[in-house]
Order: sequence, then structure tokens, then C-alpha cells
Amino acid sequence: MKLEVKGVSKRYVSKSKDRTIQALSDISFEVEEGKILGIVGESGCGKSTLSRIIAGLEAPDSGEVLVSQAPHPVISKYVMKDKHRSVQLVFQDPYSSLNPRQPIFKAIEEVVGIYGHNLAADAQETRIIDLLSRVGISRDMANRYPHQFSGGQRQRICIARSLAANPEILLLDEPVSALDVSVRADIINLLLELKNQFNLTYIFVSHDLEIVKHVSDDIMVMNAGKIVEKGSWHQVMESPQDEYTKTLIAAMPALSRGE
Amino acid sequence: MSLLRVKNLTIETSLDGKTLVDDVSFSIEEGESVGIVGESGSGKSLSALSILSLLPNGVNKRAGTIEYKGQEIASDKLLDIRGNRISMVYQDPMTSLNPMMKIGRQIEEVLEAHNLGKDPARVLEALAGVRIADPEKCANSYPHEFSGGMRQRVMIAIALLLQPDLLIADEPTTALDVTIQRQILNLVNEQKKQNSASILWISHDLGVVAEMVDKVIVMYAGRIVEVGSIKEIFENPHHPYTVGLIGSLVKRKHQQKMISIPGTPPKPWTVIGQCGFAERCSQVLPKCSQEKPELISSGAQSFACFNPIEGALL
Repeated sequence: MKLEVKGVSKRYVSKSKDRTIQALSDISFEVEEGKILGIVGESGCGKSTLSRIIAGLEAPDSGEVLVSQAPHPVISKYVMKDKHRSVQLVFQDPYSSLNPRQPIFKAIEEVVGIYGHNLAADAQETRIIDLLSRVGISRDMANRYPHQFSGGQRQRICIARSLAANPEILLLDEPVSALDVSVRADIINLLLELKNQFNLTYIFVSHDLEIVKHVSDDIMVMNAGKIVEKGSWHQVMESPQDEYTKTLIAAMPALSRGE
Repeated sequence: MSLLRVKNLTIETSLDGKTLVDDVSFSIEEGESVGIVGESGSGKSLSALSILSLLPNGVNKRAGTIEYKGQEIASDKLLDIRGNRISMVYQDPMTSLNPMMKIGRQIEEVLEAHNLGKDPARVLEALAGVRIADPEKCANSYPHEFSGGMRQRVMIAIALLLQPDLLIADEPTTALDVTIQRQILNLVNEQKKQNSASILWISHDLGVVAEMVDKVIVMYAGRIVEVGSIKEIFENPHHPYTVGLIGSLVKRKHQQKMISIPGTPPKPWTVIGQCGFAERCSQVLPKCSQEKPELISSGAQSFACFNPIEGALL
């Protein structure tokens, strides 16, 4: 198994200590190497907390996350950076996830510098240019700033940056929701292509059932911090068992359900 | 006579006169529901906002007329029409409601603005009309006490308060979860039947538009590129942009390459005097970057393309 999540729970307490929110209760699932797991749910279902925990940005109250059978630690300055290399994130909003004052070459150089294991300067440059070209950004654009790119291009740059760490798992948190409709298909095609090229495993988090249905091997539906249904994409979409899943699917526009 | 007729609408930036919407004309008949589909920057929202003279600062109408029931909407008549005969619902209900004012009071304000006095019964009726379970409690609450879906219901109650002939809905469900979106779509459809109102539904989501309207206007880079009934547009689109949009929705096999449109939409002012889609088009001819294609009718459908795609998509 590439990724195992075992009995993960997380609870948040409000500042005044009078309210607690059970963000996740006893979440367990596995993802095989090379597969795409789609995680669907509405706002507040816990999908973002779950991705933060898988990425090691936050510690669960109980339970654990295993990547290639090894425990995935929470990021702190005391643990080795290398352990976190294996899980990389791509966020929803490519506008806010790139530093506006940093040319994109630099943005990727930073990551290659951390994980590149002391590559020589020219080898480092070759690697950065190669990563950019894999996502369709040409060499002559490498010294531009983020605002000189369109939303779709920026998301491509974010994807290249996440690949710079040589990850095994990409955690895609609503990667196309902020993009124009005509650009979405392009990014989805790119992601599917890169998965095979780099031998990656994807966790695709989205509220958009339509896109999750298209990309996922397996789909997991979350509601109020719990997994309500989990199965192959076909099973979940064609013959959902849980009431909440049925409501979600019924709420999709007819066209997206394939009618 | 059409309920609403927009003629040769052109919108520009006030500062440097850059064209944002280029010569857009369309009409809405009584009881008809029309959708405008387009991406951000396509001019769909600006076109809708200009109907009620609500264009944001820094943007103004360069040319064009807007007629309501055959009469041009003059600025001194605006108050009789806006919120009364034509009303609007926006994407984000939190920014359209006053956070410091109870919901009941905000609805009352609308009645007062149209010289209908205080009418608490009508306020409660309006809230009950949009299926709010406890109208009295709702009227006595502040916007922050409600979820996004409930707030959007309140906005719809306000918009429908004076039984308008036309409701303009600018991406009213984009900020909502899918199950809540479904409730709002059903609610608007129900209200449309009850009030026999026309609807102008603006969205980037073809799937949603397909459920709400009879006729679709597809906009790209500030212009209308195709108009037709829902059925025609989905089964037999002609403009390569429409074909690309619909193709990515309906023609797709699991985990296989989706039909996509390479590149990104241009700024409308950079493609004056040529086809705005030429740079991304698979059907492009030399003519496309030298001349602007006009919207021409073919049967009930019309499209602006020199080299349209023929043959059914489905």
C-alpha cells in the first residue's frame, strides 16, 4: 500500500473552550500505488483537515498515517525534510500559492534546492527547465513573475513545483475549482498524463462530483467528519448505498450525471 | 414585443476606453428563460449589470440601448423598473445583505423604497414563499446567523417581493454546496412557474444553465459567439468554442483525455476586428484573424464563425 490512514480522529476546541468540533472521527482507508482516490464532500465535511493531516501539516489526535508502510511524521523543524518529500500538495488557488515577488524559476529552484541533494548549479537549472517543460511552460517564460501568467498556467507552475520534490503522492486539493471552465479539461489531462510519467499516486479532493467521477479509481464520500461510503468509482456513482451519497448524486445537474 | 431588448451594447473601461463587451444584442420574451454562459472576463456579468445601470466604477457603457417592453430605460425611469419590474440576485449573498440590519428590516426597506409603506405581513409572506421554515424568527435575525443557502433564499425573497417580470440571476449558486445548489435551483424554478416571470440566468456552468433556461447565449471574449435553444446548443453546436465546452462535458470516457481547448481566453480589447477565438481554434482560417465574424442566423440558431462545425455532436 502506498498510503494507509488508520483510525485518524481530530477535534478542534474553540478559543473560549465552550465548543468542540469533531472534524474527523475514526477515518481509515488505503490507497494502492498508482491509483487515484477521489475524496468528495461538502464544505465542513472534514476533507481539508484530512488532507492537512495526510500532508503532515497537522497532527491527528489519534490514529496514524503510513506512507509506503512507514509512519509519516508531522512537519516540525526537528524531523528530516526528506520524510516529507513523498507527499506534496497542490492547492485550489494558484494565485495565492505563488509568491508574487518571486520569478517562477526561483519558486521552483527553492524546492529543488531543498530536495535536490546538492545538485551542481547547471544540473539544477536543467532540472528546473525540464520540470517546467513537462507542464507546458517554455524556457523563455521561466523568469516571469506569477502575475504574468493566466490562472491555468499558474496552476501548471504549482504542479511543476510540487513535482520538484520527487513526490510519490500528490495531494490535489480542489486543483481545478478556481480555473475557467475551458481550462479545466486541460489541467485534468495534464494531471492524468503526469501520473503515468512520474509513477505517482493521487488523492484528489473536490466538491465537484463530476470531475471526481472522471479521474478517480476509487471514490470516498465524507460527511460530518465521517466516511459514509467508499468503493470503486463505478460502484459509488452507479449504485450508491448511502443516503447522503444518493442525495449528492441526485443534486448534480442532469447533464453531469450523463443523462 | 420583447420584454427586454439589448441592442448593440458596448462596454469599455472609463480610464482608457478598452473594450470589455463588444456589440452585444439579445432579447428576452415574456415568460422566457434565457441563460448567458461564459468564462470570467467574457463579459457576461457586465452585460447583465448594464441592464439595470449597475456597472461598477471604472467601467461604462460606450454604446447601445436597453429597452423594456419597447421603451428605452431612461435614467429617470430607472427607479420604477429596478427592483420592481426587473430585479437581481447576486453570487454572494453575504455581501448583498447588510450585516448590521435584521433581515425583516432589510425586506421592509425594499417596500418603503417603492412607496409601499410598512407591511410586516408581506415580509413574512415573502420569507415563507422561499420555503423558510420559521419566517418570524428569520425576520428577527441577522444575516450572519444563517448559512449561505438560507441567505440566498432571503435574497431571492427580496428579488421576488414586488413580483418582477424579469429576474436576473448572476451565478446565484456558485458559492453554494451542491445539495444546497439543488434546493435553490428547484426553488427558482418553482417561483418562476408561480409568478410566470422571465429569467436571465448568468453562469459559467453549462450543466446548471441547461436545467434552468430555454435559450442559451454563449459569450467569449466580450462577444456573443452562439445563440440557440438548449436542445440545439447541446445536440448541434456550431461554434468551435461551444463544441469544445460541451465536448468536455458530455463526450468523455473514464480517465481518458478530455476534449479540451488549448490556451487561455484573450482580453476582449486585444481581439477587436478579428475572431476572439482564432488563437485557440482548431478550425481556424486565415480570414479569422483579419475580420470579425458577425452573428448570423441559421434557422433558430445563430453563431459568429467563418468555419462552423457541422454535424451533430451527440
